[in-house]
Amino acid sequence: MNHLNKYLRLFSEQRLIHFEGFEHSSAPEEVEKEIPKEDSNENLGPDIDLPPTEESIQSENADTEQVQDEASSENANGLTERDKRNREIQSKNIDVFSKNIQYTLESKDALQSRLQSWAEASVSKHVDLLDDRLSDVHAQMSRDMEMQSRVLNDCLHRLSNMDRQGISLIDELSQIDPSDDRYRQIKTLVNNNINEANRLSTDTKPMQINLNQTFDEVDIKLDEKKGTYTDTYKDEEFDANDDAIIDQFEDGYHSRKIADDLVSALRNDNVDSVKYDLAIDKAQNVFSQMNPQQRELFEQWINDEISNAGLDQRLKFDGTGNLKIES
Amino acid sequence: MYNINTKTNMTKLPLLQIPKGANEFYDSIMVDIEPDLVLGELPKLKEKYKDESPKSLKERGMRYYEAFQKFNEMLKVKTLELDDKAHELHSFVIGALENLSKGQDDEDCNQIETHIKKIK
Repeated sequence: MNHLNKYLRLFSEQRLIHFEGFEHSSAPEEVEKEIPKEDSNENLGPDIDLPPTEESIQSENADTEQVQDEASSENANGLTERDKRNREIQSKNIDVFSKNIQYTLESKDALQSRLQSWAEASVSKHVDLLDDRLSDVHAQMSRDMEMQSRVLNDCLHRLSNMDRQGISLIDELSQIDPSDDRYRQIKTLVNNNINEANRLSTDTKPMQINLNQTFDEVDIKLDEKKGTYTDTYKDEEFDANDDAIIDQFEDGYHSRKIADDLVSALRNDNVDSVKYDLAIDKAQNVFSQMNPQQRELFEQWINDEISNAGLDQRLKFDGTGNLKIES
Repeated sequence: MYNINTKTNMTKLPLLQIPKGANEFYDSIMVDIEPDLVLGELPKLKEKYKDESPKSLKERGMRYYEAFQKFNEMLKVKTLELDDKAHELHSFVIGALENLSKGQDDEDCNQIETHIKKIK
């Protein structure tokens, strides 16, 4: 039996390769057994159970030629019919052996191709399996993410409403004498509003982290809303007579918000973020509307904020109003 | 600085690292099992093993077979992880909604409006 047939059988038995229908077009032929001489154990046919080599082929051919020479000689001396038959068999076996060598080479190629095809088919099957599995998970997650988006949008809407209410309350507050009882009542409402805004902003923060695609946008919106409340009412129990807090909202809100965003971006080494760019734009916009004295104070104030945050950088406005970072 | 209450009852959910596509997912598992069988390597195998002996061919076949067996085992684990992540996200979302709904009903806003009207 040809040794490659053994491989085929081994692969098949061990399910290494499903060689269904595998039939080589030139399947190896079995060598024909010689008729043994009564007084001789010689076996001149090739041993095709062993992997053939070029050397062995030459060797076998040489042996065969030698036998044929001897046969001729013996023929002249009167060879038996059995001897003649053996020589025919030997000659035929050599042909078979040559074919088997070719078959060996072709079979290896065929086996490699089969293995390759099987591997590719198996990979494809597993990828399809994963695709189905992932599709289910992604579908579920998309539903959850969509739900989060809706909740966040709802929260933003609520924050906007609270923003309007806060402005309305500020107007009310500015028109009431601090000694008036209503002043305290409105202050309580304002504080409630602040707490609710804080809660909404804080509780929705983890959702924002999940919504990567809208993270920056939503984060900025929420931070702006947070800034509105927390900067306006810096201390929840503010002094009722301190009208400067309201002034701070009108005059200082933008500055503080800008400074906070810049400091935050610098601290996190995140100067490429959308928030940072937005803060820079805002700063430059505010700067363009200031007179020289205000510009100087504004620049100094922002740098103080950065310095207070323990950062080494400094921001400098150039003559054209552009903001630059100096380390 | 913002005077924001940083305390929250909600558990922060780490970023979910879910493979975007099946190919990426497959490669991420197979690369540690049998590098020959990652998608990018498959087309190169014929050239890579053009001079292999019948014996090594057999061993390669055996190796690939075992690789897919191992892959299937790993897949079970990874599938459970995926389900866990999806479940974690779902629980997170539901928990977040419940948390928000505690103070999110319209009563709060209505109450403020009512107070304003009373004050006026």
